Amino acid sequence: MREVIIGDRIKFKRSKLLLIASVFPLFVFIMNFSDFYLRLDFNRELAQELHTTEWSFLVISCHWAMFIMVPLSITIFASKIVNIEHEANTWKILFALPISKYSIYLSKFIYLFLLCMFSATFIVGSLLFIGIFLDFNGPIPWDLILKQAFYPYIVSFPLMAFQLWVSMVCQNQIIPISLGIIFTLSGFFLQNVKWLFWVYPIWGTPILPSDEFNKVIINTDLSFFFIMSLTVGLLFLIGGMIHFSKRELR
Amino acid sequence: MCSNIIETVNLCKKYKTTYAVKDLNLQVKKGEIYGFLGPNGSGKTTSIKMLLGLIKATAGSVTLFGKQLESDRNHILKKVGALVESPSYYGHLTGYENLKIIQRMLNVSEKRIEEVLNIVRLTKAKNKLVKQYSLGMKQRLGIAIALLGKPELLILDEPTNGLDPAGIHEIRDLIKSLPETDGITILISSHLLSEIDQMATQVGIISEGNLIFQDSIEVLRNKSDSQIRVRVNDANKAKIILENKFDDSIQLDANSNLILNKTDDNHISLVNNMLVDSNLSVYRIEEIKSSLEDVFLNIIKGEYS
Repeated sequence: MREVIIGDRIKFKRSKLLLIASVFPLFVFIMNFSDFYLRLDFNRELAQELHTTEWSFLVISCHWAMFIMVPLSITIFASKIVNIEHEANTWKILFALPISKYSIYLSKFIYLFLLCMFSATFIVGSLLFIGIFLDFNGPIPWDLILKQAFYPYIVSFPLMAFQLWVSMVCQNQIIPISLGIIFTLSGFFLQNVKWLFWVYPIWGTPILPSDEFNKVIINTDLSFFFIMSLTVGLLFLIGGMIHFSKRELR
Repeated sequence: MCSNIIETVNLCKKYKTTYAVKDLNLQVKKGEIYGFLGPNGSGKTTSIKMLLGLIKATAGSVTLFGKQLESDRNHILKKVGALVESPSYYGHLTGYENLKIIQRMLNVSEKRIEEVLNIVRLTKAKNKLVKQYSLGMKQRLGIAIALLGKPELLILDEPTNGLDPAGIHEIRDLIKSLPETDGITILISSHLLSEIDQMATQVGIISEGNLIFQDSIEVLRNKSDSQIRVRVNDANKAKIILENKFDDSIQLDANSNLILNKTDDNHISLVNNMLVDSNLSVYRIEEIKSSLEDVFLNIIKGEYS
């Protein structure tokens, strides 16, 4: 397993993977920074309407960009990581090596997960920068910021496993990418159908505005989504791994 | 303990209703260079993919190093190096980095990279991106990758496909030099007999999924028996004279030349004397030898008809 992970690491040289992993959180940063920078007073009013701090309101507002960006970025990361093999036509070399196909699959998942964690860290930095630069009141709510940056990714475990699987078994990457875009767009409209794994990113936030938009409430459904994410994610990961290892090369 | 490095028993691969490979019984002994021949689409690559476990056999079994491929896959593949079909490589990486990936995955020493680069003469180009390599260099890199794990069995699927004559020559020299130095067994597939003629010790010919010949290359060469062609001014008269004398039927070819199957010198001189004595003009006496290529084509043709 270790050998495969190190081997994969070499393949990512010159592949601009980290650059791609920065583009998505950068998009979240630019959206929020410009919003808070250009209409700071308006955003302060909204925060007051919700009876909450500027920091909390930034977190809420950041989530709106994140639940679109997270599924899209997972789609692109998975495709990019896997397409290195499709493009190089190297599956047959890898399969003829004395290494298990499970480790080939798992290594790809590990890198997909790491890229997501990299993006989440980038989000932490973005939120801190906006708050400090615009001189928000009160102490920095570390807890809230970390949760907001990482939760959308953590509840997207099934999406990661699913996108990786489709990317691995489809030679043509248009299929997984289209699927990912469909998931992203439909997730917004289907957000109340809570058993659809691709709507989880929408619910992966620590706090929500209430329906009446007069206060901030704690997201009490989170533990449900964590458990669902872990269960469905493991199901897809193991199922995808077994399917992949049983497949024949064309 | 059997000495066969590769042994397949009634190996079959069926796609929908047609057999790509049917009842293949390959036997490759240790230290041999086995030429696996067949026209395009005859099932060579399918067979090789089954040998490596890249695709599953519909029926039959593959035994490598005396062990079943299915149950001992990882153990067996440690001793096998393979190049399957068109070259595959990470184009955005250098030749050295490509080898490094496989070296790390096989967990062999890093020195081995320099060794294989040296064997395939890519040392100078090791820091160039592989997408800038020529086809011949890419194919040599593929062989280098196959050699990384110090395999006891090297499986090369059409390593010379698409190369120019100089490239083919280079790969051939490279392959010929291998068993002497490492004592490895090689299975090499090709659709051209001439390509492996000079290096193979054993030959297997596959056509439409069936193995139609498997023996040493000498046996194949012996099939290319020679004949004597005699041109005279009156072939029919000569034919009658010779048939009466030797009690043997003599054929005429399309250009009214006599074709003799006995080729020893005494017989030919006797025939010549008789023809001259009968006042016939003998213009030409020449030996015609069918090439290995003809033998190959005849074997394949015989299978079709």
